[in-house]
Amino acid sequence: LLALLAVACGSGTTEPDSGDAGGDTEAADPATSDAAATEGSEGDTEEAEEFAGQIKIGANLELTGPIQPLAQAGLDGVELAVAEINEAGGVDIGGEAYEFVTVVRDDQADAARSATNAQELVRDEGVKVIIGPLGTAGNQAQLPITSAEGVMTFSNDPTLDKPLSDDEADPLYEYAFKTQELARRLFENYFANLDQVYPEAKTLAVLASDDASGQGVATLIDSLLAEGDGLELLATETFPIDAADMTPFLTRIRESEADIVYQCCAVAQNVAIGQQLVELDAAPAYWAAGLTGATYTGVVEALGSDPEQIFVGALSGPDVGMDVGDERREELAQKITEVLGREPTSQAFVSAHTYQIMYLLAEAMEMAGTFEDTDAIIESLIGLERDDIYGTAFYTPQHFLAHPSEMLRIEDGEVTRAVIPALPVE
Amino acid sequence: MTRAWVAAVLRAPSPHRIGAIVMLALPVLLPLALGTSRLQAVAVLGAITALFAYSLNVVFHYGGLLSVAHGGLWGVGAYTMALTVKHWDLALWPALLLAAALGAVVAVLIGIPSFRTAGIYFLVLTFAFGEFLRFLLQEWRSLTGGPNGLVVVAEDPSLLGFTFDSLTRLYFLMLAFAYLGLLCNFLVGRSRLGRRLLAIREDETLARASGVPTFRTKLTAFAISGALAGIAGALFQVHQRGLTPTLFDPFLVLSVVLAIILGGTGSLYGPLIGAFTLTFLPELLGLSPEDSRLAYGALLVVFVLVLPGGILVAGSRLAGLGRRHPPYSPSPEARAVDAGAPRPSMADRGAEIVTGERP
Repeated sequence: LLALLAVACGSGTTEPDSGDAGGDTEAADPATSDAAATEGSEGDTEEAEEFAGQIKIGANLELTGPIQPLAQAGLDGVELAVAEINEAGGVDIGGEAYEFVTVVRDDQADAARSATNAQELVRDEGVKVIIGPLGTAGNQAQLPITSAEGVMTFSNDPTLDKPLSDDEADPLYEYAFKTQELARRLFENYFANLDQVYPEAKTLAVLASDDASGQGVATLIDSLLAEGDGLELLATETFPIDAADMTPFLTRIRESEADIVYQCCAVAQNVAIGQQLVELDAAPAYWAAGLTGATYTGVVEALGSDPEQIFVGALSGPDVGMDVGDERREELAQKITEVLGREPTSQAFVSAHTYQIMYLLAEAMEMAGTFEDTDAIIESLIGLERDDIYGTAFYTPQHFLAHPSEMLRIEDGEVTRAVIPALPVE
Repeated sequence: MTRAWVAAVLRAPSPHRIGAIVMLALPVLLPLALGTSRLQAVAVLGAITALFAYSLNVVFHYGGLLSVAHGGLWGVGAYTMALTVKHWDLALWPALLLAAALGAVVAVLIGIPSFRTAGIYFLVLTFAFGEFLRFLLQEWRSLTGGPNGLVVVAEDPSLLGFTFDSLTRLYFLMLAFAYLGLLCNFLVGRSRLGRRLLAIREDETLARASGVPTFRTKLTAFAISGALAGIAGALFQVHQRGLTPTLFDPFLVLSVVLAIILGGTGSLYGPLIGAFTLTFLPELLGLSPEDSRLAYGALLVVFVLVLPGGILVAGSRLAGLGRRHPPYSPSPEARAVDAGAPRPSMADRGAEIVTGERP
């Protein structure tokens, strides 16, 4: 224990820094980004001399664990935007240029660690903005710490939906923002998308993970379809999120004879589940949260041939990982590779969200003339529009990002795409 | 009994007295070494884990019973705290009492069927109950929020006008409860209950034949252990505030068992030292969950096979404080047997065999 204490003493020499120009933050240097993502390493930046100070952006993400591809994609978007904004001269606050720096921590998809990370980011690093955690458990653990200090958080946590859409929002959620649409609005759009790309689907089966995200989406689909959307829900199967063998669940789904299976939210297992669905012939079509062209390619590689099934990807952003001839999407994928020195993940559409959010934040800070007064930043952020990689997006007064949704239909390698603009905000 | 504990510490041989004082003082001095909020938050978790380890130690060390249901009992305590604060706006102290009471009651309910079994069956049954409790927390959505969990932010705990409104203050509150767990273990060890538990651990059949009410003894120990687990869970909620059922995985118990083994199963301070070590280790080494599991497995093997006395015994041996047993020296008879000589009969060894009726 003495040895541990000695180590603790050593690591404790980093003084808490609540200011704007802390010396122990990560550089936005692309060359250090990988190390930063995994270790949260810190280092000074040469460019800091050109700026009046630094604006720390915290990233508390699930960089290891079941939703790692989503979290890594989220980080890619943040770091890409940060690199570009700094390259373009930084953020103009009151006539002075400030540099964005990211302070990255991996919560390992562990709620207790997420809270510890939040304590560090808020109290030791003095960040005013935290991207992530994307999942529910981590976000719920972080919110009590961040809301008490007025720190803005951006998460894809589906449980944010209710408080953000309530008339009288809980103070716990006053500084909480969603990285995308409210799930209800998103799925209303998705069902409209599905009707365009796969009109022959009349019945649906849901394969939901047993975590908060999976169960939340299963409940939502159940309630939406009960309202008479047109699709009939035939079966809902719940699987342990860390399960590798889907045979019992897919076998029962096959017995339901649904036209399409919707899987949520084991995104890291999309390929494996898709492969098992094809092998068991569980349904004519596979639809999954975060299913992209990369998923399809992975299944084809695993099978050694094109599947007979139709693959449907419901995306709240672009399918960056697939060459579909859209210049802006290809550009984003190319930038991630060139600037950050790493390939986009299979969930790179999330990068588009966080990329766009960082630009919106920079603009809101410039408009508010501050990077510390989060109330002023929020006031500027709400309603601020930005036309970017997947069309026009903006934050609503309820703190969710209104944006278009799109869906891919992949059949024999051919892609059909349906894009629906953002629903009107009430 | 508290006096007896203090007296026992003071009566101990000098090196051990120093050792005991150091063991108790180290966690108190820990915040001096923690310059960041992050490490302070980890220390808070360490203190709560220590209390949970003491809860498990009551049945694991004294009774030789490995209960995996404690992951669920810790969850019961945490959700009791969250729900009583949310719905009744209960203050910390009555909520803690309620969490302890509910932990004890649920432990008894689990214990009644589980103590009808032993060994691996006991382990499996408690695992099933632990999973059932976690399942209940996950599926009773109207009460617990289901997989989405609950976020309940209560006012900072306070006592006699003193508010625990910083991480350091909260740490000392949690540490006080960890010491309460230590005291509880000490008292159990000194009591008739502890002696009965030890007798059961060594040979349950013999203990029963000697008149020890084994079922009642185990149930009483389980209730005490459940109450402590309930308090640990409730304190975890006070610190964490956001709860999800995944936090109360039965496998969590295995890492706490490792903490006990790491610290030293036979030592009163073992759970305390083991819990802090195990909480800080992944943090200081920057281990991923996979690396942590690998490291835990390796540590378990090393400590069970090579250092069964845990860190404390290893440390005291290194410092030359521990009892050193003389090297094994077989008797001349044993050496002869080892050399191949025939084993001497009982009569040769002087035993008198008496036959006939009992007088």
